[in-house]
Amino acid sequence: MAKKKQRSKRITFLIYLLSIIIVCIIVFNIILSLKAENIANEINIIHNEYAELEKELENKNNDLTEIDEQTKIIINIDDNIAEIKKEYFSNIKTLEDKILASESDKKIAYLTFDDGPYYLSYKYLEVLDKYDVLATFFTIGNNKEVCYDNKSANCYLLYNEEAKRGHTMANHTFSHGIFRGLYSSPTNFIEQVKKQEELIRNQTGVTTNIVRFPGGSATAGKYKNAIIELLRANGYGWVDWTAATGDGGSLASADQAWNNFVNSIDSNIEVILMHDYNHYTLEILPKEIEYLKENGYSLFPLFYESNMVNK
Amino acid sequence: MKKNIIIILSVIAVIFSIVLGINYYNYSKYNEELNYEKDKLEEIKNKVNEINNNFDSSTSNYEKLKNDNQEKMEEYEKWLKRNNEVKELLS
Repeated sequence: MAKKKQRSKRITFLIYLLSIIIVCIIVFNIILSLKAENIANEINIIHNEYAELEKELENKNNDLTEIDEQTKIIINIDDNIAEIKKEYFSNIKTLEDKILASESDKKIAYLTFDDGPYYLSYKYLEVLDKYDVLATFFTIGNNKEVCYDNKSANCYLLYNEEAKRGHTMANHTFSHGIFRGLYSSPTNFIEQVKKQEELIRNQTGVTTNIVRFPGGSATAGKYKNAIIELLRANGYGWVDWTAATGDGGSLASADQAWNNFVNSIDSNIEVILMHDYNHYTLEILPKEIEYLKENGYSLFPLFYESNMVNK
Repeated sequence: MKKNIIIILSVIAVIFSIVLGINYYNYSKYNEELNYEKDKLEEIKNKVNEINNNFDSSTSNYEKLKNDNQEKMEEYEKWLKRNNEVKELLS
């Protein structure tokens, strides 16, 4: 009987022990599960942080690439300006080709100013700046160390003023001496062209290869073809004009200049002849620009590859 | 009767022990993963710091160059704008 009681006690103890073990296991399980859940949450947080950092890294990398590209542009700024100018003129040439092939209804006007620079050219530049228009200056060089219309000013300074604004610097010979032997021989003409080219280069650093005959190509008379041959052999292109204000001759008023101008505009590509010493032309210049723009013309500076420049 | 209870409790204890083992295994795995992720996070944080330093030095270098070449930059931007205008006429 005593043995039976003792056995029963042992079994009861075993049951208690097993129960305690089970409870302990359950508690451990719960603790481990909670810890594992915490770790899982922590990993999730890290993943989110990781994703954010990766995004930040990508953005920074993009910004860095952009900055590096901009830096490269600045380091090679002169080459980049030359490159973009080349592309700009190439695009104008494409536009010209399309217009000439009647594939585009756009129009182009090239404003050109002969015989300068004069002191009055500053006023011309102001108007062009105001309308954000680039033009072409067919410059001469004789006696320009003193401005003809302001003896206290040095007109050499204007070459650079024109060039640095992006206007095309072109060659109208150094002397412009129509009545002083300019057309006495092709060699004499080409010498005057080269002299002016050197002057422009010295004043602006720009080498120009676009020439306009003083008085127009017809003024060269019997030497016209020989001069053209020489120009071509020396890598120059030349251009006359298709429209004008008539300010090279005697103009009586701004109205007359305006009428001359309006009556001569009749093509899809115009090369407009003016002189930057003329007050009447200066007076009507804003109106001319507005008229051209209203009539669908885009205004550009001339360039060697242009169809309007004879080669 | 008590014998049966002992058997049931033993089976329960064995099952729970197995579950505990599995949980412990998972817990260790999570812990390892956590350490790995922490290292990885540290690595990317270092990378971000490094690129931030590079970015700061590149930006200050760029700003300096930009200031030194302001006129040329303005000229470049003008030509860029003009070129885009011609491109628009072509399109």
